[in-house]
Amino acid sequence: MNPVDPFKDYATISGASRQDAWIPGGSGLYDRMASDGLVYTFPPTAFIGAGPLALLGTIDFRYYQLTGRAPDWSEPNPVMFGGGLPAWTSNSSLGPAPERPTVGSPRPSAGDALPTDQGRAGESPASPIVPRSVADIVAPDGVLPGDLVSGSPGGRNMPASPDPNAAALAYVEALFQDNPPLFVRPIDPVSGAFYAQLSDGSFVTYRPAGVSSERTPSDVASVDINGPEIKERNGDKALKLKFPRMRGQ
Amino acid sequence: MQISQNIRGWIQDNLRFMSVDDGSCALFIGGRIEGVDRCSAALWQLGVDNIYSCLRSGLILVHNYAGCTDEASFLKAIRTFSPFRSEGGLLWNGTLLYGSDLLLSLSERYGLSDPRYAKELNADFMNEIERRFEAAGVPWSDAPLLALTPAPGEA
Repeated sequence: MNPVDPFKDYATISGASRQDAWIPGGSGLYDRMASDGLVYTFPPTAFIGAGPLALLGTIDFRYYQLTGRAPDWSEPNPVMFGGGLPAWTSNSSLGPAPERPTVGSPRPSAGDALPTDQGRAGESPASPIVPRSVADIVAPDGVLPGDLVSGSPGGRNMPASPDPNAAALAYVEALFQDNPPLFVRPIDPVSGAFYAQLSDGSFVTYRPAGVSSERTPSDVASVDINGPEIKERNGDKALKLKFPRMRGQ
Repeated sequence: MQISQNIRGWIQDNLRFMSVDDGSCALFIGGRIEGVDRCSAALWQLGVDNIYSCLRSGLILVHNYAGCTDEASFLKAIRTFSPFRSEGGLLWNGTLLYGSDLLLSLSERYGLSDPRYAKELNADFMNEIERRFEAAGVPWSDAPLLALTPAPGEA
């Protein structure tokens, strides 16, 4: 391990589990290239939790913790992690990472079409996941989940549960299984709120209970889904799913 | 000048939402406005102006900034980064807005808080809103209040 690797203390994180479902070939290693052009490689021990959301969120959070700045990953697309590529560890002390073979598409640039028109960034023979549109996952046949919140044009109440945060995160993880995010980034690294952009241009925003405004009860977590297709199915509004705590819990 | 009917209905919907819930900035680039395309610069401009006028007149408040640090940088950012592109994702989806007590009281006074509320235009409510925009120095007009200044590639 490089002694000045900004991720050198990842080995101290325990409770890790492999996320081979995200790694074609099951290399057990995860690469991300930061905006500085350097590629960072993470072993499974760097991650907490069992789902792809936890994996991606942890990468970003660890980056923030260790460097003091929010990550600005450019590529690769998460679905391309380890896609038949040699694994390496790199940071500034090692010099620039070697030029990488084709690894998905670069981040949107000036000439790109709007996200609604973007193709799937990770399409390649190495990519094992064919994402469904977020609208088809969330509202199959046009049927939205949960119950309409009175007075809230975009809001819907999901079933109450003993742990609203866990219920909301489980919902997001399930969503990501069918449509892996291009990136997951913290809104606020302290609260745990984050947002993600999916390959169809949609945004998913998670806010744990207690971090929203006084208009949201403090025991309600929320998941916002904002994209052209879901808006079409929700009266042209972004969909806001509310996950309340079960009474008496 | 009076706000056109289709824009009035859209602003009313946005404000009603804010009076019963909180929402990201992206709420203000949702909704259907006759003659305005989805994902268009025109809708982006309307969203910016509606956020700006509501903030200035004390109808909405910012619960948390995302991708910026204060109101000045926020107002600059929403003019610069498109809500329809990746670069604006954090700003438009992470920044949380909510209705002020003033908005709640107006909503109750004019019957918008009634659970049976339908989407009909409430002329009295919107006349009040227009008066408040004018009093706050942000009267609605055909010209943008805060003209977009798109970053390269964001137009």
